[in-house]
Amino acid sequence: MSRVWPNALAAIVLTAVLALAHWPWLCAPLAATVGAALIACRQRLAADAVAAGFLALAALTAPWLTPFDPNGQFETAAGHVLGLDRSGRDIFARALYGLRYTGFTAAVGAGLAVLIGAAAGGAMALCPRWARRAFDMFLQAFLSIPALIYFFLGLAFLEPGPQTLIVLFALTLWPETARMAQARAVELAAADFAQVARMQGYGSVAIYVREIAPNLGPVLAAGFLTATASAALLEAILGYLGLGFGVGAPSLGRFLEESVAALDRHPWSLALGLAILTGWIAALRGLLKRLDRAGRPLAVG
Amino acid sequence: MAILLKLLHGAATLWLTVTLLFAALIVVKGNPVDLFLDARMTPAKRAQLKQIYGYDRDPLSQYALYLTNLSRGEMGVSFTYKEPVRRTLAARIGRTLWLGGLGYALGLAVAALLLAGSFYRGASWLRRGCAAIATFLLATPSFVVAALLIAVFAARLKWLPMYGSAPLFDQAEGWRGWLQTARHSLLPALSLALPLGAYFAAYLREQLAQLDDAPFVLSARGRGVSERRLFWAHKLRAVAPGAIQLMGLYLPMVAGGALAVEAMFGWSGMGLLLHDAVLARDYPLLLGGGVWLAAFVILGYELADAAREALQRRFEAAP
Repeated sequence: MSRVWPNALAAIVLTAVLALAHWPWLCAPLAATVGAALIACRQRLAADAVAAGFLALAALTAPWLTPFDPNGQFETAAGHVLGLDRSGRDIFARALYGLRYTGFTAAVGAGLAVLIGAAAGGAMALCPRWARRAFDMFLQAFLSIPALIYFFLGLAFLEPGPQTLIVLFALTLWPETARMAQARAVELAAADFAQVARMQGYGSVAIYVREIAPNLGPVLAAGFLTATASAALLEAILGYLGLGFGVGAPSLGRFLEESVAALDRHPWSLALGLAILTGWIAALRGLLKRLDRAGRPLAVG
Repeated sequence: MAILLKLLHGAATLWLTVTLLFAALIVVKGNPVDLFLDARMTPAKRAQLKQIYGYDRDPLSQYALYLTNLSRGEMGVSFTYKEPVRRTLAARIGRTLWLGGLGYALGLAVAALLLAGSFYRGASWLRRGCAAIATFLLATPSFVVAALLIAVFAARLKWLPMYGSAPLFDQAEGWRGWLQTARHSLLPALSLALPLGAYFAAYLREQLAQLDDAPFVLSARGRGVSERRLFWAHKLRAVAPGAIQLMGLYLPMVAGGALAVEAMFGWSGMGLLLHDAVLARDYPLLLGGGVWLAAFVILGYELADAAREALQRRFEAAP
């Protein structure tokens, strides 16, 4: 219960600040969010799982939630829930499809990154110690370059679009999973059940396939959540800077950039964009913590 | 000897980094000249340019040439600026270092404020308020903080500039030059500092809380050492090595954040330069920028590691 209070207090302070800044229209949705969070806590519901599920559902059902094409241009704002942007496009549809495209690209890219990370981490766990040290050094070199540099280099060569982003996510976000999978696999290899399998005459690869790989699930799930959050954030940054998806394509980053540029005309679109992005990242981090706590019984003893 | 080993380790990591960046070029099988030039240019002219820039050789020879040039400090010629990449980067790196340094300094100040608030025993609302702000900032990356700051302080309240940058501490302008620098630096630096401060505060709070029942703390408390002295002279000294190392570990994050924040605020440092280089497909400049940033990150990381070891030794040697 005590964990909710800081969030609720932050939301209340934010509401007061926004009210003072003459944005009273933001108070209602924020108050609703605070209320929902408190109710969720009272009912002992997992607020992060609810938020993640809600966003995933909104992304999946976007074509049914809005009848408008995110790139369609309209002349009057009548019938458009949140109005039209400066190019006459439906703001709600742009936000919803932005979530859908960014979410899909981030999830697919993160999935591929987890596959690469699991393969690399698993292979390293089977290798001798010197190879693991060399691999660690390679990872350190890889991670000492800010991720955006890889994207800048990739986007200079490849055509912008979701495929390019997916490839770049997969190629840049795997090291974290690789490190976690390697550490866990090494830990599991020393466990009693792996030792028993070794005494029964199984080879390293067989032990890995039969005993270790099936126990890597929680680590890979954690890697997937981390990589998805990183991918969403990277897309938001690239989209804001006009890179990544092609010109005009709806994405969270593009939506945020359009919202900041049109802040005087329709400030609610920025509030919506920021709520989606921070809500998504906070939900994924919450799930990650939950997974970490749930993963404890798996600790090798 | 330890310093020599660290330098060797740093140099090996940098070599690996350069190799990785160059490997990216080979993986996409691209030729930077083909990307940059107008498609209508004649093949003869194209071939001539490739020869001038050294891109007519096979990738391995290009890699060897790049490494040889790099050992002399040369990184090729920028396609857009028509000058050595080294010179283009040197003109901008100072602004990025200033922004990153200011971000770190403000981040430490934010962390100190959050920590002071969360440990303050007088008012529970202050503790909760600090915890709430910290929770909010932990889930809000630099880029989102930047968008919020632009929206509130630049676009809505018009207190500070939204875009662009003035020369750093312009001497000709006198105190106005300093004021201009401060006005343009504040929002980008705060965008870096607020999440960074929250991360630092979270780490330090956790570490300090763990020390509550540590033997040396209990012993000092038993000897009648005051809580204030216990905090400053004992607990803080115990967590300092970890905090220093953390500063090094956060360097790639701060460097990445600076790239995004600079491009968003139009701060003419490395971030904006490399963003423009992507749009112009200026590969030598992108590669050089990546190498320089990686070199600074590795150097900072090794320095932080050395400082951690030194502090740890002093702490362990202390009576």
